[in-house]
Order: sequence, then C-alpha cells, then structure tokens
Amino acid sequence: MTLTVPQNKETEAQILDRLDRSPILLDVRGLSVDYVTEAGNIRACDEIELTLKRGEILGVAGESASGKSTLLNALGRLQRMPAATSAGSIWYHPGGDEPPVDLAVLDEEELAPYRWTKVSVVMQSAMASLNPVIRLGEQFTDVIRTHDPRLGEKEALAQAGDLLTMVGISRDRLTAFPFQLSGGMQQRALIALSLACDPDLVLMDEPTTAVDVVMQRQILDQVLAAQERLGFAVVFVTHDLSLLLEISDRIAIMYGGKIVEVGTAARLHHDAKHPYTRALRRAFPPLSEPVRRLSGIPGSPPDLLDLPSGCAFAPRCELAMPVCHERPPELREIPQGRSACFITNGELDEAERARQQAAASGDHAPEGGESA
Amino acid sequence: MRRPRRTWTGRLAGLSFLGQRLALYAVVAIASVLLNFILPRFMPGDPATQMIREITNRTGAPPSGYQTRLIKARYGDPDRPLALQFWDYISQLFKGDLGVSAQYYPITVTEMIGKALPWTLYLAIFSTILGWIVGTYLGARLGWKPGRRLDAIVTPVSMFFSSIPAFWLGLLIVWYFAYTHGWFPNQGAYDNSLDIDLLSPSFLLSVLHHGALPFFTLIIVGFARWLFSMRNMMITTVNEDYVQLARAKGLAQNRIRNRYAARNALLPNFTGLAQSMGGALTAVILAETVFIYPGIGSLLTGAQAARDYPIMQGVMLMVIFASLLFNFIADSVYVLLDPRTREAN
Amino acid sequence: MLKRFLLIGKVQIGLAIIAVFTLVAIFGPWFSSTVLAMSPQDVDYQHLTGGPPDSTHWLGTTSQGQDVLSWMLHGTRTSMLVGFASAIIGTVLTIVIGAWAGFSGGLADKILNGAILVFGNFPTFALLFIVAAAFQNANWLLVSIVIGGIEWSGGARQIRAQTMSLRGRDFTTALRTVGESRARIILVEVMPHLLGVISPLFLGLIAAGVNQQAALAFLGIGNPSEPSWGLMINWAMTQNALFRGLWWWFVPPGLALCLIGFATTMVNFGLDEITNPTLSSKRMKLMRIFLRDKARRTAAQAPQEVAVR
Repeated sequence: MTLTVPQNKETEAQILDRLDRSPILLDVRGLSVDYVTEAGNIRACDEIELTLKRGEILGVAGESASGKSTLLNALGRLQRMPAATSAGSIWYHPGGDEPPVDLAVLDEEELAPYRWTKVSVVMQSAMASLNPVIRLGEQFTDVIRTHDPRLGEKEALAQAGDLLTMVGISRDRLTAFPFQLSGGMQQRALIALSLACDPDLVLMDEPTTAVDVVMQRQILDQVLAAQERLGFAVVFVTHDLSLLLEISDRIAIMYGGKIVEVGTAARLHHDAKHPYTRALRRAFPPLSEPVRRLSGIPGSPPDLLDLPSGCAFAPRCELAMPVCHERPPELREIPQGRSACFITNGELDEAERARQQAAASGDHAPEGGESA
Repeated sequence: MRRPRRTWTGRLAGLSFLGQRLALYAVVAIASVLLNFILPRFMPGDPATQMIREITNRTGAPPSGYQTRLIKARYGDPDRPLALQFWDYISQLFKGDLGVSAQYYPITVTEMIGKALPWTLYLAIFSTILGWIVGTYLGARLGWKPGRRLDAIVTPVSMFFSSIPAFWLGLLIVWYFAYTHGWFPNQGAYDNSLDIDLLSPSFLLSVLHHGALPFFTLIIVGFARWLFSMRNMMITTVNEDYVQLARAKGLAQNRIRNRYAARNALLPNFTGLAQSMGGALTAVILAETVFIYPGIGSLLTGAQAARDYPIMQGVMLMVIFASLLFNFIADSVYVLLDPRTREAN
Repeated sequence: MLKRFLLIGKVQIGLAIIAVFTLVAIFGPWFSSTVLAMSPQDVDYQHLTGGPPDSTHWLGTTSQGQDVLSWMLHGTRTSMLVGFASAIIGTVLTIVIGAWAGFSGGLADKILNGAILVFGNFPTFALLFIVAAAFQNANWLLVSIVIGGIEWSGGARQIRAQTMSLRGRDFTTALRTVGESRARIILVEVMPHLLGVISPLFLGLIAAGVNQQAALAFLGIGNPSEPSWGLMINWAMTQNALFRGLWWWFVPPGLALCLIGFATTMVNFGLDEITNPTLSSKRMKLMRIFLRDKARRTAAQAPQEVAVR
C-alpha cells in the first residue's frame, strides 16, 4: 500500500486543542551537551527545556552550529565523541500507568528496549547511514528481528517489503546494496526503515537536505502521510524555517545552543516574537508563497567557545538594547509559546523596557547608553 | 535471504576491477623481466666471462659449448646483437629455463628454486595469514572501545613489536629457545634422519617442531601493523553514520561491532594485506637465514656469498612473481568482500 | 599543520629518538677515539674469545676481542649516514616525481603515475637485493643511492594527490596566468603547502633506509670495512655468537634498529591523530576525565534524583 498525501489542513486552534489533549511523550529538563576538545569544553546545547506531546510534529530550526543536530542526537542518546551529555534529563512517558523513564541516565544495555521501538532516527545523509556492504533487506530484518525475536527471516523480509512499498520503492530492491539505489530512494528507504518497529517518536535530522526540491516535496508528503496514519511524534531538525512552517505543529528556534523561541507554526509565521526568528524567516523562500526578496542575516553565528555575556544574538540584532549585552534573557512562557527576548518575554517591566528601547534607538553603540 | 540476481553488467564491473589490477601486475612482471635482462649488462666487468671462469674453477672443466652459449645469452655477449640476445633470453624464460647454478654446476636454477620454494611459501603464507588474523582481531577489539586500559597497554607494546627487525628477533629467539634451553631445533625444516613423506605423522610432527620458532618470530613481527591499521580504521568506522544508525536501532553490541563496524573496517586492512605480500616474503627470506631454513632465503644468501648470479636472478624473479600472484589472489577475495567493486549501479 | 604536528607527544618522542641517534652518529666516533681510546679494529688480547660488559669494555667484546661499544658508535654513523642519504635521495625523487605528475597532468602525469604504480607494486627488497648485490663491496653512498632510488613510490603518490588539489586552487591558477614558470610555482608557492606531508615522509624514509641497509648488511651485501648495525649482527651470527652465548654482541645493534623503527611508528601515529582527530588519544583522555567528573557530580546529587524505571 502506498500513502496518500493528507488533504485536510488543521487551523491553529485545532492544532493547539489537539496538543492540549494529547498526553506527554517526552519531557526534556535542563539538557546540556558539551563537546570535549583540547581548546576547552564547548557547550553546544545549554539547559534545553522541551515538552513533546504524543503525535506532535515539532520543528527545530536554526543556523549551522546552533546546536539543533546536537540536541537531536542527545535526545536519541546517539552522541559520539567528542560530544557528551553533561546535565539534564530526558523523561520518556511510556503511556498508560507506567512511570516515566529518564533516558539520559540509562546505559547502552538498558537503552536497547527503547531504541527503534520507541525512538527511531532518520539521519541527514542516507548514503552514509546505510551500511555499504550489506544488502538493504538485511538492514531491515536485523532490526525487526532484534525487537521481535519470534519473527522468522521470511516474515521479517515480508514486513520490510511492505515498508519499502509504502514509500514507493519496489519490493525487489531488498536485495540491492545501498550504492545501487538513487539518492532519493536511499532517503526514502531510510524513512521506511525508521518506521520498521512502529516507534512513538521519529527524530529527523535534515532528512531532505541532500535531495533536490522535487524529491524533497515527495519525501515530506510521504512522511506526513505516514505520520497521519501511524500517529508517531516527530522532531524535525532543519535550517529551513519555511519548510518547518508548513509541516510542524510547533516550532522551536535555536541560537547559540539555546532555545530562543517556541510557538505554533502559524504564530511564528505572522507574529514571531524573537528578532532572530524573523531574520531566519526572511532568509528562506517559502515553499508555497509568491516569490519575494530574501535577505541574509548580517554577521556570523556565535563562537560557542566565547559567547557574549548577554543574549547570544545581541551582536547581530538591530533591536539590541543595553540590557541585551549585559545578561542573557530567560526563556519565558508567553501566550502561544515561549520567548527568550527581553522585548517580548515579559522579564522587563513596561517602563524599564521603554527606557532600554529608547537607549537603543538613541545610541547604536549599545555600551554607550547604559546609564540612560 | 534470497540470493541476489547477478546481471551481466554486474559481473563485468567486478571483472573490470580485476582486469585493471591484472594489467598493472603484467606491467610489473614485464618490468622485472626487462630489469633482469638489463642489469647484468650494466654490471661492472663482464659477468658472463666471469661466470664461465667460476664454473671452470669449481668443476675443473669449462662448461659445454651449449651451456656457454646460454650463459652468454643470459648475461651479455659483446659479440652478439642485443635484440638477438633478448630473443634468446625471452625464449629460454618461456621454457621455464632460468639457467644453471654457477655454484652447483650443472644443477639448474629451476631445480634449486623448486626445492626451496615450497618451504618459503609454507612459512610465508601461514605466518602472514595467522599474523593478519591475530592483528585484525585484536585491532577490532581495541578500536571498538579505544582509550581503555587494554588499549593503553597493548597498542604501545605492539607498536614496539612492529619495529623489531624479523632477522634480529629470530636471532634472539634461536639463542634463547634453541641454544640456551634446547627446546626447539636450531636449524632446518625437518629432522634430517626422516624421509620426506607428507603422510608420515613423525615427519609432519618434526616439520611443525622445526617451524615453531620461525612462525613465532614472523607472527610477532607481523601482527602489530595489522593491529594498528585495524584499530585506527575501527575507531574511524565507529563514528560513521551507519554504525550510529545501528546503535540507534538497538541491535546487539556484537552485531554492531561485527556486522557494521568491523565488516567495513576490514576492507582497507584487506587491501593492506594484498599489498604486503612482497614485504612478507622479504621478512621470511631474512628470517630463514637465521633459522637456516632450507627455503628461498637460505638459497639466496648462499648464492650471494658464492656470487652465484643465476640463482640470485632466478630467486628475484620468483619472489616478484609470487608476490604479484598473492596480490592478485587478495584482490579477487576483495571483490567478494566489497560489493561496490562487484556490482554496477 | 607542521606546528600542530610537532606539538603531539608521540611525535616529540619519535623525533627525540632520531635526534639522539643523529648526535651519536656525529660525535660517536670522536668519543670512541678520544674518550675510549679505541677503534672498532683494535683487538684486546685479554678478551680474545669475547667477554661480557665490564669497566674497560662497557658493552663487552666480540669473539675477536674487539670492543662492541666502539663498533656501535661507528656503526651508528654508517647506519644513520645511509638513513639520511637515502632519505634525502628518496625525498627529492618523491617530490620531483610526485609534484611533477600532479602539477603537469595530461600525458606526463599518466606516464609518471604509471611509474609510481609499478614501483609501488614491486617487492622492493628483491629489487634492492639484486641491484646492490650486483656491485661488489658497495660503499654506503652506493647503498643509499640504491635504497633512495627504489623507496619513493609511496610518498610520490601522496605528493601527487596533494599537488593536484593545490593545482586547482586559485592562487596557483593566478600565478600561471601571469606567466610564472612551472618550476618556480612548484618550488616557491606549492612546496610550503606540502611541508606537512613531506616531513613525516622524510622521517619514514630515514627509518626505511636504516632498516634496508641493516637487512642488506645482514645478508652480507655492502662494504665489510664499514661497521654498521647490520654488519655487526651478520658477524655475530656467522661467528657463532649464538652458540657461544655472546648476547652483548648482537643485542645492542638490534635494539638500535628497534628504536629507530619505533620512532617512525610514533611519528606516523601522531600524524594519524592530526589528519583524523577521532584517533586523538588526547581527546580520548579528555573525554574520560569529563565523564568521570560528570559521574562524580551526579553521584553527589543522586539521593533526590533517582531515575525511575
């Protein structure tokens, strides 16, 4: 059976209502990841707080080096040297009456029952993610049979064939080696593979970056169709905010290892609260909107070894106020999401914010206006 | 799993890889044959005349007219055009005639090499393969979890092992195990009082007993380089996306290590094996000299001492051809290991 | 890259070993004649059958009553001379052939690359043996020329690849357009970029040269009046040092060979760590420390935060 593209589009209110009623799947508390290097420890993810509901599609966007892929690997407990989770917890809620489990403290053996049956991944480069020297079929059956040892090789192979058919790949490709498939086919095979054990959550790391635009569309449609049918949650990481605006229920924006804004796709689309979100939105062409002028973000991503003492985005921010350079803003709850910008997060009272903004517009060299 | 359908184009892809290798080896073989022809003609003095004088000295009589003509054809004859000399040389070579030994005239070089070669091949093949297996296995274990205590001890120690010259280690081992303690014989490949009989248990036992020290030496010197390359390749491979994905799949650790990481890390190590056969033969030749093992190495050193040039040249050709043959065998096995060389897109 | 290369502990150990042997090669014979007042040829008639190390003969004597230390000091000079000379010859060939092939492309590259491939697949020692054996009593220079002339293909392949990538870069293209000569571009502009590749190659060739010379001398090829490590081992073996248990005769030269080999292995290992940071043992150590500290931190706050399973 192949999938059909979902036709019904929910409104923002419907999405919020659905998320509200859906039980919690993943509760991330204070998650920090460091890269251990000779030059010192680089904090790639700093105190990440996230809640993911069952069936939710959460987009995570940011420039390169914003920590988004690091976060994804940490959620899947897939960091490799030199990255290591330094603090925080990842509470997985199995549902029903079972108590939540902190995935962050489990060792490899304890993690095994959660891997692929609860949390699976789709990595950026399908070519690199498939074992080049064993046949596609075996790469499906080994995971299917690991998690369901009662299945025979034949039954597992039949399941693998069904999965491939679902993403529009002929069943007889199971005997092919990965290098014999086209790039788009490899990526779709990888998506089919991620669904092999009916996971609760699929972590997707830029799964469409390596393919052309037409293939990108096709793959996204298949992911959405499969998600609608099977109901798994998705954390979808990309630098392409426009793409996320189309497919996500909620979106988290990352900058310099921190989440700076969270909100529904609709709200980020028309009312982004963080200047960085707006800048990011201007930098990418929307998939289904008329052509307009794009603009890059001035300056370059922050050096994680040498972060500014205030808001990490302040040096590139045209609205930066004196306080932005002094201390980092908190990620606070705001209506329809969260924001970590002094202008919108409510951390400063009305009067203080007005004074700061006046100082900012009066003097563009921010340090100069401190005493105002 | 179902057997793959092999298409004609698929088969051709594998063949074209082997074909390229074969062409390269053919060029190397031709180059070494040419070199064998040219070298004596560039040597100081007139080797052919020298050799005839040598044979006369040894046997008390000059070689026959036919042999004299052959020697001149092989080692240079100022009275004959080069092209004709080359023709004589090539046609003899194709007949498998490598000339006669100056030292043991009139025994032919082919016969001398024929007697020595099996012993050398026996040592070289088994020691190389055993060393490779031991090194690759240990390297895969160490590289899977690098930086642990075992890795911190075994890696530097084997680093030192790999730097030991085979002939010197052989010397130490003979001195300690054979001369000082007398646990093993200090020379030969088998007990000379026994007849060569491949079906006799006592003969086979004596072959094993005599081979123990050479094998031990060659394996100690040989395994370490495979250990490093496998260890380093394994560390690199463990960081590859497909191994990460295997981890994410929650497969058993053994399966991730063997089928995903080691299976891929093995490929460069196997290429290394193919390229190392020449070096392996060199180590064997040097070690044989120490153990006075009746193989090519002992033949070569004896010939060098007696300036028996026909033997030296014949051995050199044999060594080059043998290592090319092993390279080709290893290449063919590689085609089986790496589907990318075998099947077209 | 060169600087990072020199900062790695393994590389430093390797370089230090080679430096020590180089110093011994330079000053050893002088030390032998002035301080020890001995030459390898001097015979001590008190120790005619070979004696173990004592206060006059620090490393003992050979079966002919010659001083082993004096042999070692002079032997180091020959061995290192061959090592350096063959490495210089080999490196020059490596650079000229590799850079020429990589830089010119086309037919010249095809031919040179063919030569690199053919030489790379030759069992070099067989070739070395036959060529060296052709010259009777070859002196150290001749042996070096033969070794250097054969051991260049591996390096040339690397240099060729590097040069090809440099050739495509903007600055070389620009220089070619303004009409700089090829030799000048290679020497002045490209060469500095290749130093990171060449220096470990050179070290590797020193060790290869020392070892090849030792193997040849051990088989009796070379000039018997030039003391070298290989010659010592050869004489020890042919004069029954094993049977007589004169271990002090053949152990020192072999150890010296091991150390030279060990030094290059260390340098190459260090090089791997630069080109492939995941191999870095420094990083592995940092990671271990980090994880240990983290484990301590979590253990300290464990009572209130126990994971529920």
